[in-house]
Amino acid sequence: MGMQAFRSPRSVAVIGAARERGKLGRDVLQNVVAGDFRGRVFPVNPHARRLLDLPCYPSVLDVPGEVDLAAVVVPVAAVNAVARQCAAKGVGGLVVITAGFGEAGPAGKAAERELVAVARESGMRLLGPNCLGLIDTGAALNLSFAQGMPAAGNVSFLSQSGAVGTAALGMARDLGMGFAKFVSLGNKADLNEADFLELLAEDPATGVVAMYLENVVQGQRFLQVAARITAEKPVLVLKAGGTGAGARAASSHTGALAGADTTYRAAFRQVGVVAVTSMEELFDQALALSRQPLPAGRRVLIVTNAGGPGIMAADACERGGLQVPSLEADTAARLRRVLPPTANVYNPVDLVGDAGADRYRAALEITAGAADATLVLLTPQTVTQIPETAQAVVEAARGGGTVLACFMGGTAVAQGVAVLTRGGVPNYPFPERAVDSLAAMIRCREGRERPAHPAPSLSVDAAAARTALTAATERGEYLLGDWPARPVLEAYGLTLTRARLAAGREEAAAAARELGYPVGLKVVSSDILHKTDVGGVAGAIANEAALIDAYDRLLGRVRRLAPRARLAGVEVVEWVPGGVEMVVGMTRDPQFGPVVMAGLGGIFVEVLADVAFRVAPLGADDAREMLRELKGYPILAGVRGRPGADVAALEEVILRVARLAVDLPEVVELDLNPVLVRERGRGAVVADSRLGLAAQMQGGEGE
Amino acid sequence: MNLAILSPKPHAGKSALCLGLGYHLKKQGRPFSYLKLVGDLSGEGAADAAFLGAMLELADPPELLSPLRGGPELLAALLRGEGAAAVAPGERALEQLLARPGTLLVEGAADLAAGCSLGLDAVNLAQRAGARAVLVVDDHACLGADWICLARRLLGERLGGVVYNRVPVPRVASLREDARRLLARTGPALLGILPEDRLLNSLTVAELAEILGGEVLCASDRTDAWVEHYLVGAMHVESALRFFRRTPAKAVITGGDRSDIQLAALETGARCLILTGNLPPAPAVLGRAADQGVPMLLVAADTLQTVERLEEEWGRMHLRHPKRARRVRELVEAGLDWAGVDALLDEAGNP
Repeated sequence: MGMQAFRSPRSVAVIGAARERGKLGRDVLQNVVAGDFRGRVFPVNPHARRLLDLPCYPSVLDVPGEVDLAAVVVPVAAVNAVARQCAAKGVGGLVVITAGFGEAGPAGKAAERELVAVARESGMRLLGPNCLGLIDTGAALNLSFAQGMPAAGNVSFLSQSGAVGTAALGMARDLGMGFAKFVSLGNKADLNEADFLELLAEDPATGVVAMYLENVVQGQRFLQVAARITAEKPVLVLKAGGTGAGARAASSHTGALAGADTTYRAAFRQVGVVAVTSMEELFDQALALSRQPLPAGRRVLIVTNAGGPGIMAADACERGGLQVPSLEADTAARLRRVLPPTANVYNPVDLVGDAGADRYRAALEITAGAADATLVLLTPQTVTQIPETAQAVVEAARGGGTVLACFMGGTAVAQGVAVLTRGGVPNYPFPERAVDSLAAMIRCREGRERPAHPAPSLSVDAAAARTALTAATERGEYLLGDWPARPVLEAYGLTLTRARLAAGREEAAAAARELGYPVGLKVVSSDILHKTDVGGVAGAIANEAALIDAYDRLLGRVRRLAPRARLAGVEVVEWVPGGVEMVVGMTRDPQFGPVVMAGLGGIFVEVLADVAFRVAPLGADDAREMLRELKGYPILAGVRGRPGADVAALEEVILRVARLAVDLPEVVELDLNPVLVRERGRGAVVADSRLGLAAQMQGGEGE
Repeated sequence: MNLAILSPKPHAGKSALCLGLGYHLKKQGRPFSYLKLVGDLSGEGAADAAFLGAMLELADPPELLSPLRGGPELLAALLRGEGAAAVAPGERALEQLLARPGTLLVEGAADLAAGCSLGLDAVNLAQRAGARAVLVVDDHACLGADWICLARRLLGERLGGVVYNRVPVPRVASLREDARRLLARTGPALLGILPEDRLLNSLTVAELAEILGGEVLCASDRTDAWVEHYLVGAMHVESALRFFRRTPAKAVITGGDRSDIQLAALETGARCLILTGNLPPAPAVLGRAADQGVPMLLVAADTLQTVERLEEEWGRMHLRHPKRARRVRELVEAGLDWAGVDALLDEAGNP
């Protein structure tokens, strides 16, 4: 059974419905009844015959007719027995509001596992436990203990926190924001954000999705579903727990890892989900997206009755990557004819302080279509006609295009804000918040227009790589340095600096003659994690005398600084001159899986942290986009007469690493540092590497 | 011929070698007894002796296997000038076992000096038992050359052989070569090399709980899991994940308030979590650990104290577990030069 019961329930039972005020069982039933649910409602309570004028049943099994959805509000100890009865009854979906499950400790976790098993066996789907419930304004169903029914609208809200959900319902009321569906996810024991996102993708009432999340349960599935829905509907996510302290708090709260913020941001961006960092942004942006069409481009027209706010708005636009273009000459001329001489007719268009509603109306008419979006600013001055101006803005918005308002002044502009809200024009108390919301709309639009990312075709030899990895784990090695990692990287088609392993001075000299000078040396030992820390690296060795000298010094340093390390020999490598130093790497995120990283190498990666991330698998264009995201991209592309580097070869390195990450789950981390990107057409060479293997399931019996 | 097993350092593997030799004697059907007279003045070692007796199915009661108890009492007696009376039960046990036919395996005190003030040091015991001495060395870097030389000076011809223990597997071949060259000059035979072994370097979660005085908060039915490594989780959670992932069979030590590190440990297959400072975990995390069957140990000590305690413990050879006893038997069987050992055992009388 799928999620049909949650999509359009025709009948609901409230199990644990109660008469007494202050009991959740009463609040839920009261909400269902007061909401005027169009389907059938069955209160269940063995101690009551009628509740709120409805016949009450001793158990769900006594209910006549089918039950699509059952809200469960009985004490925690009774929930699983009730769930079994629901399974026997053939209930489609359970909404378990009762708390005291996984969040409460081992006994609760065991009960939760049993509850999920009961649901899975019978094919029921389960929302919660430990949730606020759900609201579907389209079906006039309020199956929750939230206060009252929200207004209908096109925003659907998914919340991992019930409390954030109740607060959101209250705030939305003030903002005039209406909801299609509202779902409190609770412990996400069965259904999670990906399931409901999938449901909302097909929900005709939903135009915008807003989410509050503390973690994502099925990262890869979430991204697949999100990529589909964002092509049609904007999705905003507030992912809490993005800092160390926040992540610890989230972990304690949910019993799940919060995950790395950089990964979330990269993953969301990859699939067109807009990440916000505060409730304020979530509401500001959801409001804009729900009430106004997406702008076609980045050009913003600012119309104001005061210079200061206009300047602030222009600053905010440029900072947010939006454009504030000058108006065309004839538009400016037309404005000039209707505005006072002190007015500014370029952009921002300043109507000056004595502007009445008519002046706004005239300016908005003349500039209609001149930009992709219009931001109307108003500050209350003695002659300002606040509600009338608001009405003019509403009318302008009806004419098409994207219009946001920023009536500043709090209670002084309240009447105007009310007109705007009724008329479907979102108002923001400060210009920056209005501009941020516009920027979010543009990100949604651009995310939608992203071309499909076809999978790159790469030839690799996974079997050969795996043979090398198995050999390493059999030796008990889980962190492979450059030499043992070579066969794996070669199997994945990466170009490495040529190298030979030498067991002694003479072998090193012979290897160097074969490779050709200059060469470098690297100590090879599974006991040494950081070669440079023990002086285990030497470079730019020009001839045999220097090689012998460097070899002896290197071994001397290593023996002194790592006396217990077992040495497998010294790697003699060709010394590749020049090229742009880059870093390409991979880690595994507990939520999203393989994450590929690329950035400028050397001091840039350490000091500037100029790196870009993507969740694998990668499409052919992802590598391109990653590199163009880097602040240092011009260094690769070629600046001030320096020739451009072989960006295409570097992109292929990134794609091959992504492929390796997907193919070989036992590889838990990979660092190619540096990757030397030579001049265009001359390739990218991996000059050093480190590869980590999963050891977590190994060993322990001494075997 | 009797054998005295001694070592320059405590926890070098004397009991393990005794156990292995015991299995060998049993298999050959030779009658033998075992005696561990004294560990050191702190009184350790009796539990090992009792375990060894049980594994070898010896009929002798613990009082005979390790007759001297209580370090502080021995020290007090020594200070009162009543040392001789205090060690009398030991003397009697030694005499009783020496009177029996067959081989006596005498396990020496903690190191070569221990027990000397009471006349019960390993060298003295070897002489009194008329035994050949076997020195157990766990120094694979310097081959214990100085100790062998000292033992040779103290025991003369009585020093019959050397066994190297806990030798890293890649070092076995080169150590065999080095040791042959060394011993060819100093006298005693190379009787065997026992490689380092993960199981003998592992502790069960239950043992960890006992060592640390920890309270098992969940999954108490899973405390038989083996732990090979312990890691401290004090870093950022992303670093912790990387570090934890590439470490097998681990216990993770962290504060009860570090939910993020605890979850990273659970995510990466930790065998147990050690929560320091008496800070209980968040209920949701405890629930997850219980669900995964990973014991959480709550300890009063802080992280530093806990690490110090475990460092001390991990430097030792551990025996007291039937599984480890089986492994010792296998290692000793494979690692000893049995012709050489049997030659010693077959010698008659007092050398």
